[in-house]
Amino acid sequence: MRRIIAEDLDWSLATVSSLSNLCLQCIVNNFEEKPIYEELTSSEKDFIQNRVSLSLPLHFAANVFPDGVYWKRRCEQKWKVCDVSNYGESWKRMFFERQLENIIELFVPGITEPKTVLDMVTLCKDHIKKLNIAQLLPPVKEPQTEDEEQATELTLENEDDKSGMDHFDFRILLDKLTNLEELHLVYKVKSCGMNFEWSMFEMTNRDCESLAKALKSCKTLKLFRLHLSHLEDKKCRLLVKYLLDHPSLRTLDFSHNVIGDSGARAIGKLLTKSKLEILNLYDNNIGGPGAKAIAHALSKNTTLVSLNLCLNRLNDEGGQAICKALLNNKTLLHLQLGANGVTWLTALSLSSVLAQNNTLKSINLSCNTLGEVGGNALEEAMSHNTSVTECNIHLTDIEERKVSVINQMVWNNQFRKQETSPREKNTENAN
Amino acid sequence: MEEADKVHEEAPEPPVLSDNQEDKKGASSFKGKEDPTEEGNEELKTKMQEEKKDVNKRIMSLQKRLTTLVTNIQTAADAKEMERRSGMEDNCRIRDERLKNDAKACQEKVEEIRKGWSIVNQKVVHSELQSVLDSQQQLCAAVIEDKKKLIRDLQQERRVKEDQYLKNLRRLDEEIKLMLDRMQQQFQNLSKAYSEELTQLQGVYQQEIEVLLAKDKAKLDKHMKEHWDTELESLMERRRMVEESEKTVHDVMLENTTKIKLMQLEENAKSQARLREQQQMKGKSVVLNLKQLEHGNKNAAYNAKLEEMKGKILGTSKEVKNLKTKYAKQKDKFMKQRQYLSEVHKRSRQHYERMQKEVRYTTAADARKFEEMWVMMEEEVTQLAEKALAIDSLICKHLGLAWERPSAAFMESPGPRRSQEHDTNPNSHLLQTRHPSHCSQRMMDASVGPSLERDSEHSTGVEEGELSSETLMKVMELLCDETGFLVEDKLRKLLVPMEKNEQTIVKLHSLFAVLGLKEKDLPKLLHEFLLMYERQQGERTEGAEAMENSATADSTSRLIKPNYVLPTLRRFLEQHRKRSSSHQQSSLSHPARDTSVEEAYWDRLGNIITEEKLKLWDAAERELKQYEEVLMDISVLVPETELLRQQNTELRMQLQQILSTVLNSLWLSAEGREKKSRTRKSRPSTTTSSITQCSL
Repeated sequence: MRRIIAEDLDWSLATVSSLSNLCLQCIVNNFEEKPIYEELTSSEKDFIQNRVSLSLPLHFAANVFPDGVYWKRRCEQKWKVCDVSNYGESWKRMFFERQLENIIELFVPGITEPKTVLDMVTLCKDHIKKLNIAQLLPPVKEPQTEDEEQATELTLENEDDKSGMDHFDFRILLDKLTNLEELHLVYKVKSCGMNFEWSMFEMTNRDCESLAKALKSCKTLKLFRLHLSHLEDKKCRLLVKYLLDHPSLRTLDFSHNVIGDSGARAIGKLLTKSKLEILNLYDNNIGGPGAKAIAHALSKNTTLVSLNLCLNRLNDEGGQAICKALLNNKTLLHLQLGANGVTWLTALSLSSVLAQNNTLKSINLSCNTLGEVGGNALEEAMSHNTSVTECNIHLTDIEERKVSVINQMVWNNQFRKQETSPREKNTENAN
Repeated sequence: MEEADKVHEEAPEPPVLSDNQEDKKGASSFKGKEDPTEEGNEELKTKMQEEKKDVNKRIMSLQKRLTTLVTNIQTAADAKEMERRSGMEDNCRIRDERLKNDAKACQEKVEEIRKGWSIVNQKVVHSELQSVLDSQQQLCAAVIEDKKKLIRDLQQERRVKEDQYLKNLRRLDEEIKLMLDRMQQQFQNLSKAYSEELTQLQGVYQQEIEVLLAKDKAKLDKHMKEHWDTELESLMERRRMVEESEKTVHDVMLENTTKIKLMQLEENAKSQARLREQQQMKGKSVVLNLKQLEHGNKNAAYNAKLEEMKGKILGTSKEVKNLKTKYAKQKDKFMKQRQYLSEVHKRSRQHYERMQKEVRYTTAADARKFEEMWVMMEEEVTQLAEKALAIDSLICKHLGLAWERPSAAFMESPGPRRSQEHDTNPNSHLLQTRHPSHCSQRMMDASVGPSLERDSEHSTGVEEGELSSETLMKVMELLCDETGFLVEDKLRKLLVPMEKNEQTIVKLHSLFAVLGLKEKDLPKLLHEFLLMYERQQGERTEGAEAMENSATADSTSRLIKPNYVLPTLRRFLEQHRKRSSSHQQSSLSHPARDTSVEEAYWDRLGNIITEEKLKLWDAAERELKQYEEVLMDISVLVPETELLRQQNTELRMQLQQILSTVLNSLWLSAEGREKKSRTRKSRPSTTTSSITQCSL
């Protein structure tokens, strides 16, 4: 008796499991040969989901089990940290998204068979809504002699056209994912160590073209984010060209790239043609002319809600242009012009906007040398404004006193709004 | 909080992107950044103190403070990036200028060298040429040296910047760690604040609720009091009003009642008159109605009855139908069954007849066989007896005794069986004893009824017995009287008016029914009684025939004594029972034989050799055996004597021969030989003596 108990921890004399439990256990044991699931009651389904082996082949399990405990178990088996709230509370979606991300991130062009991705896609195309790809591996380079390297340096332009350095081709993937809404991409290699090469953190021209075509084919995409990928003007123009008539794209994020004026011009064109709501060009290389193009588009646009141009080189030329454009725009809520080298001139024009525009909610002018003049202008403008609830004017050489005054006014706006909003809520509830 | 998260994501990224360029003011800017947080905390405290009551505001400000803290970090990072960029641009510019200067200097020097080459071409004198060439070489070396220096400088610069970049990276790492810590602190602060706020909120709300409750209660009490007061007042007023109105009502009522009474009286008179008229009318109508009702009732009753009857009829007709169908079904069923059963019956009957035929045939065959066997046996036995007699005669002859044939007549006569076959039936008288029974039976048939006529037909061929009907009747009467206790009283009463004959017959019937006998058995019974009677008569009469003849004359004296009736009846019943049990077999067996005659015959045959003779035979056998033994001994000794005789002759022959030879030689040989001859002479003498003995 003792021996039995020692061998089997679950063994117990007292509890003899009921016949139905034994039957269910039997189903669980032979699930792969004879899957009985749909005809069971919900509690029995739970029982099976809790017991079925996690090593079932994926193509089998994907068709049998709906979202539930089984996928939770698989997720927790595979990853330590699982926050299901990021995946719409669906464990199955989480499992498939992360699985597909893993496959793509470890995809080595030329070595990995595209079939592995396609097989996975056929299983999970209905469940994937968001793809967050944190790295894209380049193909394995054969060791080259110095002469060849010199030769390649000389024919750098040509090399771009070679398929040698291309990353994963998204064309085979995106048109099949019928529910994809968000795509986050980074062309980089994680923990490359001493094998560092600049080309690892860039996308090639071919990559760009294939990606652009793939994006065009994906009609459900709402958010596209391509950051830290050394995106240049040329490639930016190419991408934008294909995104011009995209039916569903609402959010575009090109932060931490090297987009210049011509790229900004293309994006300005995109603003006029598409229905973008959020545009993020944080940390790029956009100068005055590019900002003027964006401002021109902004003056005609009626959809854009948020514009982030922080850490560019707009200078007063671009800043003033954007502020003027805001005189005609009634939709933009969030404007960020931090760290752009603008001066009191822009502050003046912005204060004239603030005095009459009551849609803007948040402004960021940090890290600009606005000076006292700018501070005075802003203070006066804010005294007339009631909509701005956030205003970042740190490190702008404005006097502390004025900063605190301006902040006070912003808070007053915020409190007012806070007080009105619960009432609105109450009325909504009453209705 | 979302913003904080975003910052958390974005803030660490710029350092990754940053080139291997110098970032001089990173640390200082970071230090400067810490000030606002402290300020924020202080402000936060003051704010908290100020806005303790307004919880919403407090939390919002807290959020704002905390997020601004993070946004400050971001702006600081942005600023740093800006500075880095400007620094990078400056550096680039300086480097470009330097390179341009260098290029200019180089150009000048190269031009100098070119000029020098033109001089070289002009020069002819060797020494001059040599010096010019040297100067040229020096110039070239200077250019190269300049370049090398430049390269060295740049390389050194690069190295320094690499180191700086590394340091920068490390610093950034520390900053990130610091930031993480701070963020964690913020989280904690915020959560603590939230929990505090929650408890505060709860307290506040509870207080508020209590206060509100107290207020409401007070209000309620007040309102209730007012309400009660007003109610009371109004009630009092109403009571007064009611009293007043009651008085007025009473007055009015009195007036009214007098008026109404008058009116009523008048109207009563009118109404009574009307009532009378109405009642008259009613009376008439009632009479009519009654008549109609009677008719109606009757009709209704009839109709109801009719309907009931109809219903019953329908029900019964239905039942009848059902029963009919059932009956038809049953009939068919029974018909089929009957047919089937009759077929079965027929078949079984045929089978039975066949069986009977077979049995009869087999019994006949068996009987024939038996008789043949019997005859054969008898023949054999007689032969054996004759043989025995022959042997006996032989023995007698042998012994010299006189032998006589014991009884030649018996021996010559054939066996009883054979004599039967020759129609000299010795047992015929036994069969004839039954005839009276047949006779009596016949008499019975006439009286009892047609049921016995069948039996009487069988007995037609039987001759009339000696027993008269009278005796039979008497026996029957006797029987009836003696066994009267077995007959029921009812029957006896019924039989009283009948004639005596009929009485006896009916009584017998009932008696037989009681005893389980059949009418067939009656004659046997009677016969039994008669036999009984015979036995009673004793052995004074010799034959049955003679006895019967005399019985006819003196019937009464021959009748059985009444005392013996019952025992005889009982005996008869026992016999009858036995017989009936064995009847089935015996009825089919061949006619009974007289075993006693045969037994006697067989005995006689068995004893044909008498005991005395047997003793004689035994003695003779013993003697003969002794004689045989002696003879046997003799027969054994005969061949021996023969052999000895032969030997003797041979030896005699030899002696003669030897004697002849010896006579010749005797003369020649010595005395020794004489002795030998003597022994030889003695030997023949012994042999001769033995021979004589044998012959004796």
